[in-house]
Amino acid sequence: MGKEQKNIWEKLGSLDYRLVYITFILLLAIPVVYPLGLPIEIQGNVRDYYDTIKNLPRGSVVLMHSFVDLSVWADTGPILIATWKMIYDEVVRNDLKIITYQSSVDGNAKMADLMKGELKPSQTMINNFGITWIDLGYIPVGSDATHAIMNADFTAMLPTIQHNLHFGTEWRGKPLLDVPILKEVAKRGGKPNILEAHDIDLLIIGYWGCTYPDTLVRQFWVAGDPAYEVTSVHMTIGNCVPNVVPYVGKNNPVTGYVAGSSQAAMLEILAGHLGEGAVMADLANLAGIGTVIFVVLGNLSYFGIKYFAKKEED
Amino acid sequence: MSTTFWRKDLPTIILAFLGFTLIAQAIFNVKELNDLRAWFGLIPTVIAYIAFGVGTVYGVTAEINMWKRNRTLKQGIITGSFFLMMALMVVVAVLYGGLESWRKPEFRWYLLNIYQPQSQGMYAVMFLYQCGAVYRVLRFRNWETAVLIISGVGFILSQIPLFTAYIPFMSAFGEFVAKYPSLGGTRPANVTGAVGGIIVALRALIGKEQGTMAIGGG
Repeated sequence: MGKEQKNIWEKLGSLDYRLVYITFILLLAIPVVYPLGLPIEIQGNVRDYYDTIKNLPRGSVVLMHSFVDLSVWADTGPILIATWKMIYDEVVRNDLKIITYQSSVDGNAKMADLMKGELKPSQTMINNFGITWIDLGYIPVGSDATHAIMNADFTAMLPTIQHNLHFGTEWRGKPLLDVPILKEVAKRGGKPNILEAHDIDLLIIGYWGCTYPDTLVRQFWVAGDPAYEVTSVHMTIGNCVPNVVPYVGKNNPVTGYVAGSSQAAMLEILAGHLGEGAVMADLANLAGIGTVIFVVLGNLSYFGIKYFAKKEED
Repeated sequence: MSTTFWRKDLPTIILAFLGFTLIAQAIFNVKELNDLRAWFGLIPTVIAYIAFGVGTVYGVTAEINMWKRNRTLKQGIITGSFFLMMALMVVVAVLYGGLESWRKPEFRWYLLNIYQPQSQGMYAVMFLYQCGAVYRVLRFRNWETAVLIISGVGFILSQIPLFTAYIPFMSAFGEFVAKYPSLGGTRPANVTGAVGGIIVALRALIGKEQGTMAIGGG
């Protein structure tokens, strides 16, 4: 039996999947070899993220989750790097107090690496480690239960400092409240001399597990007696936007978010620290164009078969 | 004792005792119940580790039996790879199983030079599959797929700088899709799942949900 001849519409709708993949690989390779610098318009959610950090009252305490998951590093790394560079500026300009931690072993290793290179702090920052900022190291948080424990008393979740940086090693293994910045922060709102979520003014947190915003809102906004009501800004991927958007608003639990590396490019422009985000924005642009082209081709084929192929047969 | 007692009645009694005690702890703030709750927390961990051990033993015996039944080159490679992986895991556990071993430079080298490219590669392949799926699935076949295409493609475009730069409406449209239709779809699904979960849990606690205990199923 001979193979039935396909008409043009059928051929258009059943392209070899390898052709689809090769097209995308070629499209994504272009900006890596030759950065295009396609136009970027800063989106409202990124501006809100930037403004939230920029407009914090002087001396505010920020809990900064150094969000690293190596599998999505290409998409989320530029956000973290742009945010950290902005934080460095704000510590100097606005006297912010920064308590940072990682929630993955990847994060602990990667941050140690970044702090030697791309995110190398100034000598003043290094000298002030433990006084104006501290890296707690790896804390195994991520679920409702672990956040509930940590938010009530950080020392219950992490009795001693566990950071992996090449500086500030004198604090490693020491009880949390021995560190001057943590001792000072623990004296703030809520229970005196207990480091808890009441002492935090802003949470900067990242994830690519899209149900995490629900957990964060429950544990940082709703929980506590009285409620913690810690405002947060989020670093995430494009897929998780529908999960975070319902919580976003000026007086809401989340005041801004940056989703994916293309929006990281917008943050880089706002913060004045250009980085990898710009290249990644080009990648997103070309991937978007490819997606539209293939959706159009698929639908041309569908309608072609439905309306024109019939007429040809008649 | 009959087989039914060991396979059905005893597990149900244990499950019901643990489950109802935990529920009681949530309702009544009694010190003894709180203490019991903490102790009960160990039980799932112990069960999980026993299951892990049983699974490992089962995996090893299954591979040995496969090799006994089918002594071909292909099976030899499969069985050999399995035992090679097991041996590597033992070596890694012995050398790097300590609490502080992740600080070792070898571990960090592995993490940043092998694990990172490999896991990002997997993420990239997933993206390629999605691109292929978009081409094959998103077609205006009926009203349902039409809504999916408009909202899905609209949302994708709202995340792409080039489109939001030239069509500012895309950004607002993407936010609308995320805020209303998407939320309207996921929240009822979550509620339904939660209600279903409660019903299945209660049925399991009173011994009615036999599938949960894997009793009598086929």
